[in-house]
Amino acid sequence: MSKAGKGKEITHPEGELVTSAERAKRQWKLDAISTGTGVFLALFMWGHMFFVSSILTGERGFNWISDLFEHYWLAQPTLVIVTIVFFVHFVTASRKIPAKLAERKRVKKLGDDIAGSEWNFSKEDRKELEKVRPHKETSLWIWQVRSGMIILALGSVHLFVVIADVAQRTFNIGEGVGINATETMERVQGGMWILYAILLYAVEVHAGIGLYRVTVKWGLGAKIPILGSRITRSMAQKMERIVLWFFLIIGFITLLVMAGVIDPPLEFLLPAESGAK
Amino acid sequence: MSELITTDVLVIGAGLAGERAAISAAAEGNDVVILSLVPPRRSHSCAAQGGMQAALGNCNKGAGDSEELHWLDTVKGSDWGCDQEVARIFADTAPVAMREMAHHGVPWTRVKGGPADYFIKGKKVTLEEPRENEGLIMHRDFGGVSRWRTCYTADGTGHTVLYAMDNMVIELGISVHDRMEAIALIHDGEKCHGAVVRCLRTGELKNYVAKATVIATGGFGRVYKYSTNAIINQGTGQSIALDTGLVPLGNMEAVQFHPTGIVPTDILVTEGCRGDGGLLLDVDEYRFMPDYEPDKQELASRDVVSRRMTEHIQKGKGVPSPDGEHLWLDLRHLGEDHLRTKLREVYDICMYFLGVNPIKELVPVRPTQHYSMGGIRVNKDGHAYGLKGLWSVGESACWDMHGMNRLGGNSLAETVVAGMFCGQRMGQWAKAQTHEVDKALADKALNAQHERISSLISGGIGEANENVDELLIAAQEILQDKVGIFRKGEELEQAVVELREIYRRSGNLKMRSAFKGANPELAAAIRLPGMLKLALCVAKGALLRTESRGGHSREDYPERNDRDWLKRTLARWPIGADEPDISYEPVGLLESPPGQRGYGGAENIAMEQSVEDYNATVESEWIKQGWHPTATPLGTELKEMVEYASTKKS
Amino acid sequence: MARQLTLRIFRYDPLDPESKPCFVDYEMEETPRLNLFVALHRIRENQAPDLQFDFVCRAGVCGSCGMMINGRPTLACRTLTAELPELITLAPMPAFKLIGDLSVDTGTWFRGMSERVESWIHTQKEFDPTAEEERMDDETAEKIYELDRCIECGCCVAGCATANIREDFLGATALNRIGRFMIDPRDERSSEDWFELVSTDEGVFGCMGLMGCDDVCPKELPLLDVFAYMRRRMSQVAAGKAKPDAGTSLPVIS
Ligand SMILES: Cc1cc2nc3c(=O)[nH]c(=O)nc-3n(C[C@H](O)[C@H](O)[C@H](O)COP(=O)(O)OP(=O)(O)OC[C@H]3O[C@@H](n4cnc5c(N)ncnc54)[C@H](O)[C@@H]3O)c2cc1C
Ligand code: HEM
Ligand code: HEM
Ligand code: SF4
Ligand code: F3S
Ligand code: FES
Repeated sequence: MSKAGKGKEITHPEGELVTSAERAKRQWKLDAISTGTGVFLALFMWGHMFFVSSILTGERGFNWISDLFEHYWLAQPTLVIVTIVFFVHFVTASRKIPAKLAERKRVKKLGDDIAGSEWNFSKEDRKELEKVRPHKETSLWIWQVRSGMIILALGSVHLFVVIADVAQRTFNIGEGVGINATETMERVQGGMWILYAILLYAVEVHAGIGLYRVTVKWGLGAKIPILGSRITRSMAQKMERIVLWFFLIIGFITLLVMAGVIDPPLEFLLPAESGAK
Repeated sequence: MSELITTDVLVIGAGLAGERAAISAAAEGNDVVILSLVPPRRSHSCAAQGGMQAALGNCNKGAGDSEELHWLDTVKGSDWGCDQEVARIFADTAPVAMREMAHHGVPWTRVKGGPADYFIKGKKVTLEEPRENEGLIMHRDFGGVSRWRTCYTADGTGHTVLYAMDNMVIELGISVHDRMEAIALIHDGEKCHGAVVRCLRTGELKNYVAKATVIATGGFGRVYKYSTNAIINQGTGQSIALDTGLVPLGNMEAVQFHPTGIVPTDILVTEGCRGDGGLLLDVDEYRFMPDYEPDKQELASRDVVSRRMTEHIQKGKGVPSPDGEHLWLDLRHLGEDHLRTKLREVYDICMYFLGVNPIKELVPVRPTQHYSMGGIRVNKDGHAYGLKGLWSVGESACWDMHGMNRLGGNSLAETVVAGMFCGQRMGQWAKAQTHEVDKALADKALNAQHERISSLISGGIGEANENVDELLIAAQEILQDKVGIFRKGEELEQAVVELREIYRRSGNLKMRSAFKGANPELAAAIRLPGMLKLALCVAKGALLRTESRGGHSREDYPERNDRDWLKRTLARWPIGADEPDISYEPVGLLESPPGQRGYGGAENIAMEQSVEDYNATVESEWIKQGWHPTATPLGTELKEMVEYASTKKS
Repeated sequence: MARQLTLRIFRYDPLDPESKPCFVDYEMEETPRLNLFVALHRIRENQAPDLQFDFVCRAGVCGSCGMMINGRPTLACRTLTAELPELITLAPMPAFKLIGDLSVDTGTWFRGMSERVESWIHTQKEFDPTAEEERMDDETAEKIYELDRCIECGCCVAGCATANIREDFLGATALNRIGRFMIDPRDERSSEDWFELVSTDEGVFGCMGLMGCDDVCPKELPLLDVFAYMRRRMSQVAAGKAKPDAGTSLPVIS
């Protein structure tokens, strides 16, 4: 720091000599990357959701979109980028996960203790004093790590499947039809629904908590002019709740359609004759 | 045998006074070690809310303020019981001290130019704050002053100043040994060589040997049952000085009661509440202070307001409650904004400790023991009477700028000014001394303490059947009931007799717990006899002073008596005695002859002697009492000293 | 009917080789407006004279009495038993060195922290006793005070899982302290100076946004706002766009 500390040489854990400013920059970068990739993935998942939920308009709609994506070379680069980002995020974000089981237990216990501590308070007291604010963010972080692990496992499988699909079409291997509704529904009905149900839930929870945390950590609201004020923590929490439920519901309806449990509810949106192709 | 730590200057106490003195001493080139019972920032200075006085005159109502006016208010406030020269050193240095603290990071509430709303004497007024002073330190009103001059940071003044001060200490790398209690001084009858210290983590004893030892241990409010003081304010610093048998304590009977301690927990809500426009109401929610004090109303000096409140309660106008009778403090009209920003601590205290919301409800208050004007008697440099190399600053000292009553905001200012000024004198003195480490002497002092503690541990001392807590509580009750706001001859006599008995019984303490490390019961047992001695000094001083002056108010002698009592009480405790020896000295050179305060409304008995005659005897009387000549003569050079006293890094 | 309280208190004396960490139950009858300061002193007076705990101001301003009360770190002196169920569990704050029973060594920790963040005004200016004080607008002063209000109770450290498992993590109170000096115009340290200390895994980028600190801080300091401000300012530095006068641009403090 200040005069004495500036440019001080220190040994990095990996063994090279770096100045403390360089080290700080490196650590800033890693954190920025994990946040950036997390936000990117979360936004991607929203887009992905609209894409997959095209099944709600029936098979034709779904196929039309997937066809479009693959035909115009949109799907292929996205796949590559997303796959890379997926693993980069995993690598940078999991730096923060405590290595020792005892430490993870400690985090969980502390979070639960603070959240669960019993106090007798009237609602009014609470409002006047904010004395014992409810706390769940520490426990939520544990869920973020857990859901992250689930995503890593199931998401990899899923990515592999879709990559295989797209690759088949792109390089004309086998039937080479790429992503299409029939295959998707077969897959899902053939048992993949379990995987998707879990993955869906995990992703939405993980992205929801993650975005809430990013908002609070960076205080994004401070600069939003339309609001006139900033997004407070409780506003961010409410938004997280709404977004989470929105995507969960759409996601599960989509899954139900793919699993053939219900008919596509939005089929009427597409003109009937286009199916005659 | 035991560990011995040597340093140039040993400061006992890490409150504002101790830390500021340490900084001055270090600036003079001394090695300094500070001891404290608790981490420095937990010292009681952090609890001061209201502010500190300095004649900067930045705001509308402070216009025309000067050091001269501050000095005069202080002298009046003291009821002419203070040392007027010291009050002058103080008033002249205070502005520099505030600015220095601003330089080192205190945020201070600042002047905002333009119209601003205030509550003055119960009415809302709009004043134009001078735009040319925009951004300078703001002031608020306090009791007993002729101008607004209290510098403040919202209501966390002590906190912000102490934090800035401790930051300076850390910057200078001065070591602070916390959880260390000085339990005896090492001295050879002439000179003080440091202290025997007990570690509150492990219970071990250590010797700290130093050229100069400074006692800055704060007040001793905890000898009273109801006190606003922190629970560590037990007066150990004063009692180890008293234990030497050589050093006298000055004006111990001068105890201040603050008008607004909350009921029942006795936590203080600042005078700033009334300064900012808060009102006192009685059982009928009637505002009674203007009836007693038409001019100053709620903002007369503390001794006066506390007495008026007590009088009013005695007239049957108190509010009955399970915790005794009290009055109301009304802050509702100040509004939510003000209470949640400028008086935020007050708001929190009411909400958390009383469950009372001051925005909507009245706050129960009563006068509560608050401040000890008395303490280790020192000369103008802060050098203790009777023992060379022993110094004292802050509330633990009787430097004596407060006389028989201190003005609100003057004591926090005193800690910094005295730390700065006396600290420098002390630093220079220490620098000129050579180190003589007399190990045998130190070991002897340590062994004596060791023996005292071992005998406590091994089943107690004497007949060993007394309980520490019981004795302390008994003594606290006696002081509370019999040496309170209004005092009477018979009651004081009883108090002395009863306290003497308790002091005797404290020789037979029996411990109840097993003895490991830092046993808290043992710590209390070590402190108890000292606290009882202080209680006796208070009671006996009060019994003998047959007049009413400032905070000392005798029902049987209601008038201030300048003929017989323009004196300072000195209490010494001869080794082995069972009560203090009381003697007197003149209060100091009189520049302002005793007059009317303009509030409080008591009769005076005038001086018979002329001021010149009085002044002529002052110095010789002091020397008789064991006063060390000051390093440089005072008086005309004051201004100059103010400047050099303010150097930090030299 | 007055409730019968059970205080389940952690007891352990690290200096005594025979002592084993354990919880001991103390019973007492609840009295009106009883707070834990009074309750603990009663236990010391009547049941366990050697029970160690720390109180100084007993008014919620000195920060001495932080402890885990039913699992939550907070100030004992201003906690009324009426707010708690009949079983009250008291434990020392984790993340600090235990002195004994409920007493932990926050003093050493905080001194170390202050040294680490160089918690003082860094300036080339010498103090001039003859000059008037440097001006500062009241709003800036208020903002600094808002962050200067930390009482070093340590609750935010005890309540932060990151600080609990990573000794080198500065902790919320230290980050807040840094924020306090960052927004102080008297402090001449530049954004770049701060960068090395703050922009690390020990600093603000080690904070995982667990928000425990903000929820338990008894002084309700706007900790999360301060961290957000620091993250943004440090990112400006990393992007090479630090504004030299970023001084007081701390956004809204609630
Ligand atoms: C609630 C309250 C509010 C106040 N508000 C104001 C105000 O607004 N304005 C104002 O001017 N004044 C105010 N005062 C008075 C003022 O705060 C004190 O007089 C002043 O802070 C005393 O400072 P100090 O440095 O002398 O002692 P303290 O701050 O009390 O410090 C004493 C130090 O000595 C240490 N110590 C004690 N004994 C020993 C020992 N035996 N060995 C080692 N260390 C020891 C302690 O650990 C501590 O560090 C207030 C007082 C109270 C009680
Ligand atoms: C598509 C899948 C994923 C999405 C949408 C996603 C999204 C996010 C977001 C938005 C954050 C917040 C970043 C921050 O607080 O700085 C985050 C953090 C995190 N993610 Fe993911 N993530 C995904 C996959 C994963 C995977 C596979 C893992 C692997 C275990 C993982 C582990 C984590 C962890 C541990 C954090 C916390 C990091 C921190 O607090 O700094 N995530 N994620
Ligand atoms: C560009 C990359 C991706 C493509 C092209 C893609 C494509 C698809 C397709 C076609 C489906 C329908 C099911 C199927 O055919 O098997 C689907 C469903 C799903 N995908 Fe992806 N996916 C991609 C990346 C991801 C990632 C990174 C995740 C999260 C880790 C993910 C999570 C899911 C989930 C949870 C479902 C089920 C959705 C639901 O039922 O609502 N996908 N995806
Ligand atoms: S930030 Fe809050 S919780 Fe942390 S030490 Fe300061 S006051 Fe205590
Ligand atoms: S709890 Fe800890 S992880 Fe960050 S937000 Fe607070 S410092
Ligand atoms: S004792 Fe001071 S904060 Fe609790």
